[in-house]
Amino acid sequence: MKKLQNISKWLTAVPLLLLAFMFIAFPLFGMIRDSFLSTEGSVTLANYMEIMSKPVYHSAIRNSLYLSFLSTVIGLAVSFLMALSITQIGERSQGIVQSILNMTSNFAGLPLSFAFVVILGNSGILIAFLSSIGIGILENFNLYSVDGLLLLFIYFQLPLGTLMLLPAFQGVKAEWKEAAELMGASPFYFWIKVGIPVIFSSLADTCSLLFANALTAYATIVMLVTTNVPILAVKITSMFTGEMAQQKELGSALSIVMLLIMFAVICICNILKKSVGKER
Amino acid sequence: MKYIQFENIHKYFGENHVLKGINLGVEEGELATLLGPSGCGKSTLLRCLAGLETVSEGKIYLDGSDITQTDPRKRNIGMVFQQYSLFPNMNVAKNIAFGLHIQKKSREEIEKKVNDVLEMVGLSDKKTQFPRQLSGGQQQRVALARAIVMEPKVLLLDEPLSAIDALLRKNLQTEIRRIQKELNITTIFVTHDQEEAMVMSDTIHLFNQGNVEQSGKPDEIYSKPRTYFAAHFIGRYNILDSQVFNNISGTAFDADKIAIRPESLIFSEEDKTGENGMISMKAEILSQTIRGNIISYRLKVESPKKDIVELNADCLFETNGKYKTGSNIYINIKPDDVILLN
Amino acid sequence: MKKAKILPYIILFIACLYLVLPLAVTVIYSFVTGWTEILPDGFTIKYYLQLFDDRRFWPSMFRGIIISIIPILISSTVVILALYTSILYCPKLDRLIQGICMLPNILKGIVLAIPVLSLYAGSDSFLGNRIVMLTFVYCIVILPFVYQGIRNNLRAVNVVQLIEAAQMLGAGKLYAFIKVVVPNMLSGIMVSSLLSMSAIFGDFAIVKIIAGSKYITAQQLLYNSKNLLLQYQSAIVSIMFVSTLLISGAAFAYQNYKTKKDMQ
Repeated sequence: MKKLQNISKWLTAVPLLLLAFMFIAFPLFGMIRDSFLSTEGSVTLANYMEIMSKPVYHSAIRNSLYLSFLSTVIGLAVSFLMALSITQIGERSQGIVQSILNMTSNFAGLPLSFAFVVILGNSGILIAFLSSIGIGILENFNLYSVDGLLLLFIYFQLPLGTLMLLPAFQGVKAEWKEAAELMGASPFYFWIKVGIPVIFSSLADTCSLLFANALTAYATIVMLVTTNVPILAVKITSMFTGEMAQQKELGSALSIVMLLIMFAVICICNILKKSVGKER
Repeated sequence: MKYIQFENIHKYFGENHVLKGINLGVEEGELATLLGPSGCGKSTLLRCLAGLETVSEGKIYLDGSDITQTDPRKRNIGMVFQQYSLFPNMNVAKNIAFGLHIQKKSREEIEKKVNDVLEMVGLSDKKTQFPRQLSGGQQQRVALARAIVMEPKVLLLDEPLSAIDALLRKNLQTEIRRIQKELNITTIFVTHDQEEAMVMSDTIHLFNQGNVEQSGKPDEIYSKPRTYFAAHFIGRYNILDSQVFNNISGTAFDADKIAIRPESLIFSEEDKTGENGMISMKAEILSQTIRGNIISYRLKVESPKKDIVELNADCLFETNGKYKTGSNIYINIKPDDVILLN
Repeated sequence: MKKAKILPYIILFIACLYLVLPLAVTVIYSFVTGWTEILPDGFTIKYYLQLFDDRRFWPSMFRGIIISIIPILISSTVVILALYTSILYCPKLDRLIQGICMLPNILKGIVLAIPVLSLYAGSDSFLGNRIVMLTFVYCIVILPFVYQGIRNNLRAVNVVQLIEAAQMLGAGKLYAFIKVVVPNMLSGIMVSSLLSMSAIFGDFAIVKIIAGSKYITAQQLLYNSKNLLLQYQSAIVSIMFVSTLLISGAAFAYQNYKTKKDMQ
């Protein structure tokens, strides 16, 4: 009787666990299993061998890594500057900037890529505008190249990164800065010794999130990716939904590679976070 | 057996032995206080009585029947918590009516009871306000009203005033005491504030590390602490090793330690040894602090054997305000005022 | 004492310009007849009229909203039920619940959709149905919003003490949970529902992967228009953006209204 009661207490937690199991854990396990199967259903490493041997997958992985790393580093650095700047401007300006950030954080995915086509595409307005007033810096710009995509990636990282970092910056109390100043510390010294250690765990979390965000970005780039510039996320998706013959097993292996890269970066961020946390 | 009776109550939280065999009784209609530092087990005992914790060992009796295993809902006990225990989604009237609704009372009866109890706690005008619109003190009055409207057999107050600022707390203390007497409701009050305990209680039970250290009326607890802990916790007692005290005063008290209340030291300019059996010692005034109409002196006493002892003495400003720091005087103690501790 | 600093303003001005420019230009572009010189050739609203005439447009907009309703109901219920156990019986469970609910912050878009599609696509059970699959994946997508909305609202109240207080007044734990705790969760659910709606409305990756042509939302309509005139596309983008803004704006407005109400 008592035991039955104990079980019934746990009953209400079951739906959530079931949901997570059915639609996160179980499918992921299925994917891991599929990645080790041949199309005939026998256990094999052939899928991973193929990924390692074919140049098209090499360049997809390379492009994705390049975009994710660079957009994360640049996005994090600029977000850092922006969040820091926000804490130093007047209250009304803060309101305006925050509204812009909230607004543009909603502007992502497919609509964003259309907007970039409008201004920077083959007949982009900005390009036409600049060349008509005699500035030719964008004449060789190609939105459909890796560097063109980078601009787009940085765009969607900025509002996200800044909004995530802002609470941490607001948590760095003005009193600390004043106390440091009275003891003769320069602002730079204060940030190195107090500011950054305090916000470090936020920085690490933001870094993981931005990287995962970039690596798995699909909607934002699907329209712009050509066969010349293979991207991991698009390549994988086409293997499951493509009009041509589906390659479920190979796609699974490629997905696992992507997930491993993602978890490796998240782990590094968490290790950094812990080591800095211990120091304090 | 008393109205409420705890019999050999033990409580473990894992390895932690929080209550170590409590035996304690509360008379019907009295206000008993469980006093002690935080972590001494006083709140745990209260929660065991409420049924919010189960006891590991022992029995609890209420009004003659064993309630040790009774469901908390069926014990008919009211409780007021520290703070923020009002339901934030209900207004004052709904909060108070909560339990009456569960009892399926008629709407008219609920209405009448809510109005009566609100009048009693002086908040009739706040009936439709929400908890967040009330001050901390008002919230606690509502919490009290919500508990007493159920006409419980026992009212439990778990540090209800600890989060309320000093001035308001004094008001609420007398208010709670008035209502308690008016309804003649058996009440157990938990606090760590010895002054609050003195003001409010019929009986004080002093807790220390899961044991009842001493029980008694407030004046007893104050004037006759039996142990070092009691003396230390209750007042600003001077507590000395009796060996040292015997050395400086030339007496022969037989105890572990002795305690002397700061206000029982009487100052004089000449040696009064022997007058009415008075114990007299020469002392030097080290410092003095004015606290309202009381002066607290810090004194140094030296024995022939070169023991040095520092004592605190409290004097009324009017009678003893004339002594200067650094001057030498005599201090006199009646033997009755030397309390022996075990 | 406070020094007027100019550098933060410059940094933020440039950054905001970069953020606003694509958006502003797209909205303007949806109203122009052509734009090849410095200034647009002329203005028109014909692309909007054309869009509104398209019978597929409004239904596709509504599909994006409607598909979010069931996931919001399911996820809210499931999280509240789980919190019932963790709050009343097992506080340690809260870490697990939080972990599960925050997971979709990292595992999102294709990482959620592809494994589900791959596993269940061939299934003969109801899970093989694309709309069912889509609904459940969206349940996962919105867990972070739902969990945070509910938690934020509970942070201000001492739930355990409220339930104990209700128990002392004769209420059972379940009754206390329903009468006292759930009402406090509900206003948080309001905000998280709107945010969830906006997230689902803004999704393209998942709906494209799982539903394909079986469930055409506005996002899919936009994708299918990729070979049409740029102005026409800009009009769709503008309307979708304004819609998203309205939904999340409503969430913020509601939240502000509530904090203001709580302050008084």
